[in-house]
Amino acid sequence: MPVYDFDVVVVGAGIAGALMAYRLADAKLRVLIIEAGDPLPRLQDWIDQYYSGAWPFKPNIAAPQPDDPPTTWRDPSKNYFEQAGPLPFGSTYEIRAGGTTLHWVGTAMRFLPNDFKMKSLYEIPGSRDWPISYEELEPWYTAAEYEIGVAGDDTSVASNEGRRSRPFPMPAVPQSYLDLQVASALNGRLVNGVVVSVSPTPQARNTVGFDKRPPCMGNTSCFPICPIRAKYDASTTLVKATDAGATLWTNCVVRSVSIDAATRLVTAVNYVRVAEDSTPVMKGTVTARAFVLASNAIETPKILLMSPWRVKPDGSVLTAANSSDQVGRNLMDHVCQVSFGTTQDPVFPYRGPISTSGIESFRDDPKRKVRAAYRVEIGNEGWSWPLNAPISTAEDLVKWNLFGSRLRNAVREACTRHIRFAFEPESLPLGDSRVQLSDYTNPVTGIPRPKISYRLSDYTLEGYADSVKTAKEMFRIMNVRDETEKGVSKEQPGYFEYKGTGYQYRGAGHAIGTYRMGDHRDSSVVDKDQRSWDHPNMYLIGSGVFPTTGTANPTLTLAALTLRTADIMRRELRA
Amino acid sequence: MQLATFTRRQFVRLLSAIGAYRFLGLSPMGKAAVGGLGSSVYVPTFYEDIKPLFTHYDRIKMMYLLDVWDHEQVKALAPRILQSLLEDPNRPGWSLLPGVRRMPLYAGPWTEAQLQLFRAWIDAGCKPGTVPPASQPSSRLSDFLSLSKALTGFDDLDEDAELAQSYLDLCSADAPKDVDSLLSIWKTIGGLEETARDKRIEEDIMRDAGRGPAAKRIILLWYTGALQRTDGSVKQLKEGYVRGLVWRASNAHPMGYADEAVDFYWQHQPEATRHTGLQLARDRTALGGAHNARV
Repeated sequence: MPVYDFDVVVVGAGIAGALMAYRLADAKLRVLIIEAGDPLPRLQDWIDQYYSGAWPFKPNIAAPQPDDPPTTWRDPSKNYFEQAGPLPFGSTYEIRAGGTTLHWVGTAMRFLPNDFKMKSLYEIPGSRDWPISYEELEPWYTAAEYEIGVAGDDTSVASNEGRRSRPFPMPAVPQSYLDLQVASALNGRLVNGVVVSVSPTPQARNTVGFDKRPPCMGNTSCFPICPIRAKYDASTTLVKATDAGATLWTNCVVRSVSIDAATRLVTAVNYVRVAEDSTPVMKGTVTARAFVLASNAIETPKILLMSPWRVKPDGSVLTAANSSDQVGRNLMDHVCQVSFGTTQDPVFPYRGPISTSGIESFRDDPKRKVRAAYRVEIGNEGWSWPLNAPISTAEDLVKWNLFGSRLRNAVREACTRHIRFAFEPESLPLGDSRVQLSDYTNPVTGIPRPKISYRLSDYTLEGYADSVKTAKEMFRIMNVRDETEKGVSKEQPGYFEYKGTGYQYRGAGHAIGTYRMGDHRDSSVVDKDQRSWDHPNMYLIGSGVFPTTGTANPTLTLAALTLRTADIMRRELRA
Repeated sequence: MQLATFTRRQFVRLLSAIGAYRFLGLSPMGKAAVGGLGSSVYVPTFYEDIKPLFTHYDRIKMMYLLDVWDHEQVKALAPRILQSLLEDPNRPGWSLLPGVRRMPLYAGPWTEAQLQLFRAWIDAGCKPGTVPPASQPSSRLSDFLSLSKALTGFDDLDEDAELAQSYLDLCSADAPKDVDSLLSIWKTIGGLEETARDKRIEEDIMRDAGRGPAAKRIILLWYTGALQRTDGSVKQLKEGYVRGLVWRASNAHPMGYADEAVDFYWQHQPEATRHTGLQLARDRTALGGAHNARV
């Protein structure tokens, strides 16, 4: 019997990696979590940095991450991504212990049963069915809700939502005053062909003490950081994982996996250890019986593409898990259409969690056959996302020489009326929207940066345009002055024209699809257990396995899939 | 109870043993952990050791009974607080503290080391430690404050004298002549009746090519906590952000800082200061000074 360093090596300490490591360590397996970025610092250090006007998380030169695309998004010398276009990939993520859940808003919704069968139900060209159904995943959705702590309203379940086997572990986050004003104006109204209703959003946000974390106090900074950890982030699970015996190595950037060509098994993970000042220290190798890559839909395919293991008969090199040639392809996101305006009566935004309600009526309506479906997120944070208000509002008013009580009143009149909705149309998998290895490398580790090619299907663009129509109708019914144009400019990344109209999308932070799951090894990278078709002891987890984007944010679904796979691995590895 | 005394070295070791993972991720060590090794016996004090044991969240949720960041109030109830902590403070519907139904210890019960620290503080006589000093404003600061009130439309800025001093220093370092020019004209118009005064502010300050931009920088500094320096760089003060006036003007609270004790306040329509998410921020002890770092 060979001697292994660990039973399982998990690459990435975000929510997927942390949940996996916790479940495996809890089963007395010897688990290593290997994380490229920095360890968890004191929360207060992050908060202080945020109050001082900076992004709360410090950059790490050896394990960099993308920023919101600037106007120079095409220039690889100014960005982490080399973006080949034609459109910019607009989403970001956090490379550090805790991962992107540190800055997620906390929306924790299940996909609709129909989200799993887009192809068979709607016959959309290029779309795909999932190899797993809602019913099969349901127990794991429940497990995920109880593991991370989701607050939701058991009485507010729409007819197109799936069966729930257990109530939410916590009562719903109360809807904001703003939500209630929107609901009283819109509920039951016909908008763009659909009868709409406003409902409270299930959120991974405490409403009672849960998991030693306090209830939400409404700090309105779920993004970028909850100052009291009322919002779940993966640091909670990471601590549980290490308490259960898992080992956590941070500042170790994985550069490849090694594969035994004879057995097809993954034998080791190869990494570069860097000091916290980002100087490289040493190269290392760690062995295990099984491997889990949980480094999100950009970094996981990059690691696979950096891992050659066989020369094909035609002389080309086959990289890890890629006999289907799908690794890195089908990169998707929800492309956010942010509509904002000024209400007639004050709605008092900038209070409460960033979002407490949504309109789910367009997630699976009859028009889904011809255009992307979308959910509508109602924001409690005014124009903060599109325009950095209310600070920018004060700046604008002062330019007009306002001062004293006139200034104070003008700020109140404007800011208490700010409202914004975000529409999140789904995307289709496209083979040429993809992650590849860039010729540009990291100066510390020598590891290639991601090269991203990205475009959107007409199906998504049609959904996008339709969501603008929906927004305008909603605003008309609510007597909201539409000010979305203030956020649209030809110079900005994400600007595009469709059927003669100019629009501008923003990333949702939902990188999806680059190592998709499927029923056949020739068209997918992993099976429904998230196991690599090519390497039976390697699992790829996270939203990269999603064949389609669905109409909710991906976190709860990827958590459910992770818990399901962890259960399979526990049984297998303990046998 | 036995008198507990520690050498400073033992004390630091004891504190290092404290499970630091409280939900705020804060070190419960206060100043004791970073002090020198000068004295052989360490006497824990309120502002340096005890106050950091109570989180921002604890404070807000128990505010209706007592302010756990106030030395006198905690001292008055210290033995009962300790006894509540030694029993099960998380048992619902029960507490030795009058009026406290439940101590909000979501991070779990205090550790043995934290309890010992609290006991040692009681045994040593509930010493307050260094209280943040209250300073007398200079006449230059007084002028800056009254100018700031007229420019911002907020007349309670005196409560922020410490912050005002930081702002004055910051502006003076950036553009000393502009500040001098503003304060000098303020001496001639500051005492005028309000309508006449505002007319002069409009003409001689806001519309003035030199003083106008300087005044706007000061207004925005008060509103946002950030100074747009004349060289184009930006300096944001952490305390200034949290006390930024733009949030108060908007019937809201700074994103990332809410301190209203009313559960789920955001479902209500704000009235004056209620349900804005800001409740304690007008209280001087909430912010400022090394002891109050945990806003």
